[in-house]
Amino acid sequence: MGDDVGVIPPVRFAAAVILVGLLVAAAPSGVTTSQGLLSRSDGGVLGVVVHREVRAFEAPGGGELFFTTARVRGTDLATGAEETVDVTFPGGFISESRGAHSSTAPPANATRVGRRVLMFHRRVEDIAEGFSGEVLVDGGGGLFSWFESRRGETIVQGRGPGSAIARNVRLADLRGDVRGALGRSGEDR
Amino acid sequence: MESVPNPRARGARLQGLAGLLGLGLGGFLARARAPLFPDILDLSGPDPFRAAATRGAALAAGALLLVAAGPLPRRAPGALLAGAAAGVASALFDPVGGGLLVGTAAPWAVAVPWLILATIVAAICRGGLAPSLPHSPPSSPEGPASWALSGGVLIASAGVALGLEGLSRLALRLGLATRGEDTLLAAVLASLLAIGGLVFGRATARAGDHRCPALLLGAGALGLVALALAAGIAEPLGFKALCARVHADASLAGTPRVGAFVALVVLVLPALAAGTAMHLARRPATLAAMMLGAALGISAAPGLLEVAPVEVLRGDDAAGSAGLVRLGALIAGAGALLHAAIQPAAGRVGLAGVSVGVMVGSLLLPVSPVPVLDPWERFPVQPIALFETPDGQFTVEPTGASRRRVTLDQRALSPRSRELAGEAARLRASVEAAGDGPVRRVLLVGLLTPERAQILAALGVTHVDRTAGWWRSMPLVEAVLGPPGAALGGEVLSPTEARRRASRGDHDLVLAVASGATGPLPPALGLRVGDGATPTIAWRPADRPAAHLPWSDVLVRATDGLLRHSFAWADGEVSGTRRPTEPMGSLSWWRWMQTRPDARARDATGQADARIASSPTARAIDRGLAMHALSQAASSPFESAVERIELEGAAFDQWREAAVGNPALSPFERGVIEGAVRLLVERRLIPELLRFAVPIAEAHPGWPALELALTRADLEELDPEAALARLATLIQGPGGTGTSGGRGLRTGDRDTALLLAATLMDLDRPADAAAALGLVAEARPGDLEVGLRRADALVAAGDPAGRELAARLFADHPDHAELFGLAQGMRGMTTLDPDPGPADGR
Repeated sequence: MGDDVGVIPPVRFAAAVILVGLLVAAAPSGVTTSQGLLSRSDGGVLGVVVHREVRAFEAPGGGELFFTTARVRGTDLATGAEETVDVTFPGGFISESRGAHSSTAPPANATRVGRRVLMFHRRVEDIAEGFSGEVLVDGGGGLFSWFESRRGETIVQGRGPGSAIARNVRLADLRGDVRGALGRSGEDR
Repeated sequence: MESVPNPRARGARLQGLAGLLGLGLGGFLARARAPLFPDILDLSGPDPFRAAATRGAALAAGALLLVAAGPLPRRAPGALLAGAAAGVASALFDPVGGGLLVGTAAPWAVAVPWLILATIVAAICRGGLAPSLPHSPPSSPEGPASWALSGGVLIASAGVALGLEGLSRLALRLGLATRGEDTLLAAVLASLLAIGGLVFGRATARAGDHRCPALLLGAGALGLVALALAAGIAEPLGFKALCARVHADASLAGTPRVGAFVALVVLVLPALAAGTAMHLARRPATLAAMMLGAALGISAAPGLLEVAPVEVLRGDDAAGSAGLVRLGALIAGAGALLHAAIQPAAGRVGLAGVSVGVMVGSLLLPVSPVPVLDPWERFPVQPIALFETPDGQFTVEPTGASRRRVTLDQRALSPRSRELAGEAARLRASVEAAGDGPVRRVLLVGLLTPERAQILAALGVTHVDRTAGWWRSMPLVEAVLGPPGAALGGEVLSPTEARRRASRGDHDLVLAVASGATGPLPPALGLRVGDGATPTIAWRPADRPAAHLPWSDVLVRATDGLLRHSFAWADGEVSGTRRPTEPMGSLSWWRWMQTRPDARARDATGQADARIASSPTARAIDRGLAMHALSQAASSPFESAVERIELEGAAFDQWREAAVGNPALSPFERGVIEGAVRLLVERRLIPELLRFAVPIAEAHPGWPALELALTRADLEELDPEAALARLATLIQGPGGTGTSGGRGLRTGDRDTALLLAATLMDLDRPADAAAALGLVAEARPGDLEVGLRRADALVAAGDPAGRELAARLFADHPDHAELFGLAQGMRGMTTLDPDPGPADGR
């Protein structure tokens, strides 16, 4: 050993480059990185916020904890089945002076009633004081928006480099990618 | 002769008279804090030397009044002090001085203290007070009444006043008050003096003038203790802990609750001691000496302040306000020592010893400046320069890329980087609104920053004279900011000289920029400089209440491109919007002070917008602005400026209606439309954008801002071919800047070039994308975004120049992960972490 440390044989290097190239070529543009998010979530709901509510809970060390729950009516991202999901995230205000801002919450405007959202969520038991439910994955990082284009396509809006969905993608492409990823994830398990 | 029924009634009458005397005196002193009747050149607050002279003269007049009042003050000192405190506090109701209750108090309330004072002066002149008092010997038995003995009191009082002045400057700064908004602090100080007298003075078994110097010496020494307290509060954690005591937080700095509590904590010790001394004074000469001493101390304070030279960036060699406190203790010690030397009473040795001790201690005590930085900012402020002058504490802080922001006592004198668009719009609107002729010579009320100089130069201005209440510090501040970067003539002028030159017609425009350091704005604010021949435009600070302010017949407006806009007062030949006849809002000064500082601009602008929209001459644009302003709400500090803006659908409908139906929009109206479009683009609300912008673009073909927005919509819809076609039309159109057609589209406009490059990248044409950025990259070699996108396109095209460009840029931005990756030939790198997450593009 010693002399060989850090030196990759040319054949293995070439094989690795080819493998990476094949993987990149096989991956649909813009949606490959959602796999990490999917692995941390129970699912995604694509729909419209129809209700929003802020609740207060007693904090263990005194004071209050505030959580916002947005009710999203739409379809399951993987199956396309209709569903309504209550997704909770930290922060929110019950009145003008009672509430708290959270650095991990999505912008308030992004979850107002009527907003078109794609939320990745997962089940959490005992969020606060025995309250359990679906929470938004990765704080604001699990929230995306979508719109209907003039050509009638549903476009999910990517949020740039570093985001789970970096670039805009058609829902049909994203749905296929998610199904594939979930299938691979199931086989891995 | 007037009959006095019994001693009790006589005593009550004495108390009442003394209280009235105090009320008149306190009311007078509170109102003589600054020269009356300011004009537009005083927007940035009064000249500190003039203000100090005014206050000193008022205190000297007060001393004469007390002497003239004869034995009345010594018979009821408690009532006199309590009355004085009430008189000072009455200024809170005063609409003339920008009092806190402007808009709430009845207008006649302002006249009450003056009437009382006039009545008392008249009574004194007629001898009406003295006969009502039975003769009684001074209660201080020892020692002859001698003016010489008052010399020590006078000197010690000057020292105490100097110390209190230094502490007050710090308290105002900590409480985020402007220099003119010290009514609240004055009321707290007067109340503490009265409480000191009533509690400790009355409890003292043996009153007497000989005790006054000792108490004043104590006040001076306690000033040093208070200075240590103030230094503790100036630390962010100390300030937050202090706020928690009154169930507040640091973001409430600037509200009466926090401001009054800061003043209370900083002033309590020396003020209680000084109040006790005032209560114990029995000779009119002693009380008058105290007042004269205070007059001397306050008048001299600005001249005694240690000012750091400009090369000492943090001012470590000049203690500023803290130095005044130390000097005050030293002078108080000298006064007490003099008194001990003259006064034959017992205890003179002890007083002399303590005096010497305080003097030596003050001389040896290492006093450092007490810098006050924003404890309410989310991230610690790291100033480039911090120094104190008689005008206040100046900080120069970095903002944005290589820009600097200046504050005076924590109030902004220049905009942050993100506020520059609004600043540019205001300057442009000013020059466009000021008459028909060219604007070459400007009198600027405010700071000439390099950004302002460049904008004004681009608008054709060649000469800018500058003035402000803090004009003496202006050359120092400008030197720290560096060269203006534009060839402009002009000099720094005192307000008096500026007024003279403006009246002479030396300027084409008198322009007051909006400043957070603006003092109170009284209804009597004069909008006219000279004979009114020179157009005057003064931008109203956005966070000021509008209800009581003077509003000119014509308003100038400007928008920053994010649907936030500003109003300006105007005088002379100025074009703009007609002012509505109704008052511009109903938000009282008191309500405004209680509003969270970060919400003041929203509330005040909303009210003004609503009044303009309710005017018969209002247009759809105005109605939309009112709807938009009134829909705004408090937002999370973790959100960006764009995310914080609430979108009101009805407002957008109004604006669309206004734009579609009007082929000749004014620059302000076009600014509003472009702001609405920009907001929809940045929020990526594509259906809403199309619904809003498409009809307007059809009514106004070739509007670049709208075409670029619709190009973005095309890209969001994954239709880069449509985006390219739209861009090609825009660049090659009559107003376009394209240099060639077809595949070689190039434009010199930064935003268009970036959008064109993004479109070409979406079309998998990276080489063309790099070429599209060529003109802009040559013109703006330091533009990081342009360089980054060009390097990315070159690397995508396999051009080795991309890696070289990225490596050069990375040397200047060593934390930039994407540049690091591009320098290695890898695109989409998002972190320098050797073990990146799945989102990284490696």
